[in-house]
Amino acid sequence: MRLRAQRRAGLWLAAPAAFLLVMLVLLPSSAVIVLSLTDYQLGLGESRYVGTDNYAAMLSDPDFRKSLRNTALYVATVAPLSIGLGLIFALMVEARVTFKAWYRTAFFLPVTATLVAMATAWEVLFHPTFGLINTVLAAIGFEKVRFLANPDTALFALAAIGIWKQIGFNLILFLAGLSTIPKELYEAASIDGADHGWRRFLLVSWPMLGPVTLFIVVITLIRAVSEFETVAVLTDGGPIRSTSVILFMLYEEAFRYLKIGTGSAIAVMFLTCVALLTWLQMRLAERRVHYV
Amino acid sequence: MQPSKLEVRAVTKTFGTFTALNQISLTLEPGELVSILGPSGCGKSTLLRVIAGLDDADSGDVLIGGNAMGDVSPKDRGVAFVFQSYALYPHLSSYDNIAAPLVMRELGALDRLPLIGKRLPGSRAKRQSIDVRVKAVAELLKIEPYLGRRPSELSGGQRQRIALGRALIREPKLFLLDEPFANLDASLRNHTRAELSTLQKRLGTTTVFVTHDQTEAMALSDRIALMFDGAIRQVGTPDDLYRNPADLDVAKFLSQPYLNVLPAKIVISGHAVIAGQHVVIDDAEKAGMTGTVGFRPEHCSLHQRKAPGTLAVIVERLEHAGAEAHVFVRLGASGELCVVRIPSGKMQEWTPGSSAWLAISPTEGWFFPREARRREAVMHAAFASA
Repeated sequence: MRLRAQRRAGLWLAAPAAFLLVMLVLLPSSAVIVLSLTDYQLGLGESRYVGTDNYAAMLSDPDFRKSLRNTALYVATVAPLSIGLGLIFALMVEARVTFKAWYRTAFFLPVTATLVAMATAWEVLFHPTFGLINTVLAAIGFEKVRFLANPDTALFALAAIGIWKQIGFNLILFLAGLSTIPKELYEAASIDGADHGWRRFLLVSWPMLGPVTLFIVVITLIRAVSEFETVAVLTDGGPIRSTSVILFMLYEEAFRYLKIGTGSAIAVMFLTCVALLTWLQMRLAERRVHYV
Repeated sequence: MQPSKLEVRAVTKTFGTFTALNQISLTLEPGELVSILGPSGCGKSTLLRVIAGLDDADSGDVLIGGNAMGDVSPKDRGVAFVFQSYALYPHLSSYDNIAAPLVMRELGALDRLPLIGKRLPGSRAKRQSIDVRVKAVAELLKIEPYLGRRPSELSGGQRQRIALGRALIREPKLFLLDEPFANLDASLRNHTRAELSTLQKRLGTTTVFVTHDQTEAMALSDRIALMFDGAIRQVGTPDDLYRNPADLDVAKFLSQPYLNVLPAKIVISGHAVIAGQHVVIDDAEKAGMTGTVGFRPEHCSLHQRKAPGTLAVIVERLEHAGAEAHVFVRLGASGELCVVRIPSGKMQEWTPGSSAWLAISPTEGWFFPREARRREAVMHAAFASA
């Protein structure tokens, strides 16, 4: 009797969350999967089942492959640099006694700022004629670079903004991780002979940062894979598709050319990739992370 | 390694306006085990940390084996520290935890590289020598079965042994133990205490042992340094401290659970007036002094009939404590509470509410002068009469 009552109470308590989950996540995702199997176009009434045609077309589309390559390159640049620099800056801030709060705020500012507004500021910095970066380059004797207009540099210019945005976030998380390391571990290390620098880092800080590092890697990868705003605001995927990343491609297909079917196929691909990445990361790191 | 002498000379340490250590001086002979005993917040852990070099003293010197430690970093002092929390590296196995001090000291940066390190010339020999010593320590502490496990997979007692192992392996000049048994349950604590004592005698390493537990300190130590408020009040053998406390705080701290204290005034040498009654207390030497008479429950007796020098009391309640029993009595004249220890077989002789007379042992009661140390007072008296 009591068990049944408890079960019923449990169901009632879980119901609101379950309802929201179904309405906001499961149903739309299922809709996307279904749409990806049709040739539905926004505005046209009729649509029919086309099987895996959308996927086949997507995979053979050179533009899609290019956007995959761009995304990979973007992630490979942003993730390691923003994580590595975030960690280094966190260690530097942690080692300081004064102005700690000031540094924390300064680094965290890009995270809170509206990216579209910030992107405009970066556009000014990158500007070929009066941008600060080119002014400095010219001053030290380099040729001016049209960062956002040159297909060879545009993606990396966007990656620089991505790193700038992500470092602060990672830094805050690393700082939080560092602050949970017991002081006595550092003291034990200093008696055992690892009292500073690299040895101390390898014996205490780095292993103790395991859980937070895992979290940061997953978050950073997902954020980098789903980069969109800077592309949309600054380059519109160009020049010559050199900055067309996977989400931008999705946006173009679905909302510019109104090909919902193709767009949905890309979305399914994208979701699968992100889910796979997260799962793999969790599995790989499970055994190497030490929760105290 | 040859046992080393430890000298602490006039060490002072302040945190802001708080004086944690006030002119502390203490010398340990080679091979000696000295407990630093005191209530929490008395500065005993700070003293240990200053000796280890984890905290810097504001002034004063620490000498280990005759060498001033001044700017010597903790790792070069030849000390091993056992933390109350053990501070084991959670990501390393017990084996690697114990080996850590040797790995950090004896293997170079290249040797410690994963994969490559093992193949470097000379590295194999170094690793083998470390392995031999880890195994020896594991055998000594009987922890071989746990060497492959991580700290999170071990019980408190096992972790404690790993922490001891990490301290032992360096063959330090000095063992510094900060409440190492505080996180163990009572039975394990007694057991580990006995083991530590045996081990320390066998290795002959000079040891400083910080604790707030007087039983632990009494059981383990060659000598005890009792600290209050950042100062050492008394240093001596456990027996010396127990029988001859320097002041009221020391007497109270070492008389668990009870110390009887009664305000008193010395009228003539050897006689104290307590609650209007003349009582013979040999310790009350100097006439004219006011202060406190202190005596343990076993230093007094309870009588049915009035005798000279006894105090009228009312029996309040009785407490059984196994072989012995405690009788709580209240002084008729001043209302102070005293505790008398009697054999538990004689409990039925006393009923709550009945009158009785309390006799304080003239040779075992102490007189603590107000605002002064007892021994100084004793010395003063001796000086005056000489």
